[in-house]
Amino acid sequence: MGLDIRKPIGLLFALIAVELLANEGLKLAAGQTGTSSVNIWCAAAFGLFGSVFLWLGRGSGQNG
Amino acid sequence: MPQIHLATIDYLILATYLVFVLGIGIVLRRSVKTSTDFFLSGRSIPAWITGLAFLSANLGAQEVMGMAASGAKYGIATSHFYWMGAVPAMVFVGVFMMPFYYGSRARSVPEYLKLRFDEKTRGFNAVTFAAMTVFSSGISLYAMGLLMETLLGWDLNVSIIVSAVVVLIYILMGGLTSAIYNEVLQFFLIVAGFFPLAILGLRDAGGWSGLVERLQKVSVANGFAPGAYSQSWAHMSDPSQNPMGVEWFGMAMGLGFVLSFGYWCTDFLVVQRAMAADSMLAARRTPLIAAVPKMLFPFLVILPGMIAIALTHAGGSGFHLPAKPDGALNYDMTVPMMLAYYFPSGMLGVGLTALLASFMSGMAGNVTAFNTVWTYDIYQAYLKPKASDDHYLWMGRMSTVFGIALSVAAAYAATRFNNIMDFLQLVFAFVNAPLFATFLLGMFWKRATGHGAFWGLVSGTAAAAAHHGLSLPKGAVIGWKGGWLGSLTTYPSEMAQNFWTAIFAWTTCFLIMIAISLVTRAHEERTLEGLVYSLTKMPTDEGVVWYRRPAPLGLVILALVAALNLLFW
Repeated sequence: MGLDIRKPIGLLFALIAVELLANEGLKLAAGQTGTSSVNIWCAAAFGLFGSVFLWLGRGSGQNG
Repeated sequence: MPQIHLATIDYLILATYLVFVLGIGIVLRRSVKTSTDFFLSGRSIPAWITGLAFLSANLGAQEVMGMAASGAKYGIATSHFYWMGAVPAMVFVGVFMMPFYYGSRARSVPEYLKLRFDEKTRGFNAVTFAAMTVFSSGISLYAMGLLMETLLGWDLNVSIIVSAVVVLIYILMGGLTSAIYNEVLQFFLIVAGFFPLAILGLRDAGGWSGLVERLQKVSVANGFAPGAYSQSWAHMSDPSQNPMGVEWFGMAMGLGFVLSFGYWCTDFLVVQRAMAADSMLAARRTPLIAAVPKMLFPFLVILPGMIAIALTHAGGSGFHLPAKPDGALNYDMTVPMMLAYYFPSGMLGVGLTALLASFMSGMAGNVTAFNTVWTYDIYQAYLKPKASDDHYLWMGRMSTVFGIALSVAAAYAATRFNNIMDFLQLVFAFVNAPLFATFLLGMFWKRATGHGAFWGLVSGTAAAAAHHGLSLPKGAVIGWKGGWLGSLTTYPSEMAQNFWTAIFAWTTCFLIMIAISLVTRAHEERTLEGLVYSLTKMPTDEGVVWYRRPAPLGLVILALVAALNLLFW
């Protein structure tokens, strides 16, 4: 069907990780207190699972 | 009800998700060239994808929010929907029924009924199923719009229209394939969004032992034995001793056998995912693959409900369920309230996106099932037979548009009723329970006839109506909840009434179908090959490694689910 669904899932998870981390980074840069450990831990988990999905979907053009 | 204020990051995550689901539709639009591509994904999808879609198509609003609400209301007994209901039914459909669905080359469940029985049985099922899917999709849409309005202050119309348009675009472009691929993405997003919620809530409740201790106080305060909210079977000998108000027979027969097997083995919404698989083996493994995450879902959707009631009752943690105007706890708000309490901006966006994903996957499941049944079993069968494939592909796309338009209309109609969700559940019990008896006899008894099937279905549905009309749940008023023919019996809960309604419907259909089949002319055996167990050569799976074969895989799954039942006995 021309789509390996693991790639979009990996990409979405990686993007969510980046967005969550960037949000916390911006808070730090703005000197705000109260960065969220929940967001940081979840960003790490999204990054990890996103990388796993991208790795699983590497090099395949089909639905794997 | 306190409103949640979303930050830019939350909107950004929601927008990212919407871009991805639409992107998948756009990428897959090139794969749709024939009606088979549009309705059945060209029967080309691997088992792990159809397996997750099989699970995800059922992960609509009722599942995610409803099961959490039931977890808060009934405690761990809600796990019976999974550990005694869904999982054994999924094993049964994978091992025994899928060879007939997939092997007969029927394109839908109603079409199987036509091949096995006759045109009138197909017509009856096609019309009731099409109406149910539109209704169900509309209710889901309305529930989502109402939730967004209550929680976020968003306009109801905007929520309904935006969600409907997004689902319309990705199905219109990529058909069933697009729905299935999006369901896989939505599945992972739902897990990722709700898993941290269960962990944070459990930590707040003092871990599993702390939760059990708090639930014992809830049980005693409600007049039950201390373990009634945290032990799934120990208090099932007496309906007055568990919050569900059901004894073990009603549970095992009503929920475990009739309702669960009725839904998972005959509902085209889920069966359609398996029929899109790329081989017979993949189709049989589809429900078995789905059963593995399904047995773990109580930890994702029921556990938050149990945590919510425990924390609300004990007080002191800062979390509490909101109350309805009449003072009763509003269990339906369990998941949204927990998201708002435990998640900061950022993860709040992920949690709400997961909730939106569950609404969309449920709606897409209904719409793809509707467009297939409408086009093949109503339009092609009765309105325009023998048209070109291009015409049916066009009709499939048109029926997607009017299926979604009807869903939106149903969503607005739902705003006029305050009891529509209960009514919908009741309709499911009326339709699915007798249908399962029809399939059971149709697939495993070659003597079953078309007249037997049709009148069995009609009388089973009538028996469900009669039982509902003559019974009432405790404390309910006569009307939608029953008693409209007179009140012969009172059940401790609506759940108990539903289970017994299903038992009466199934038993009546089963007996009437046998009786009428025996006095009507049997089908010739050659016409039943591939449709009935005793006349079909079952797949042997030779040369397939044991853990990929349906039967051993099914046994492993049953052993695991038995272990879960024992662990939380």
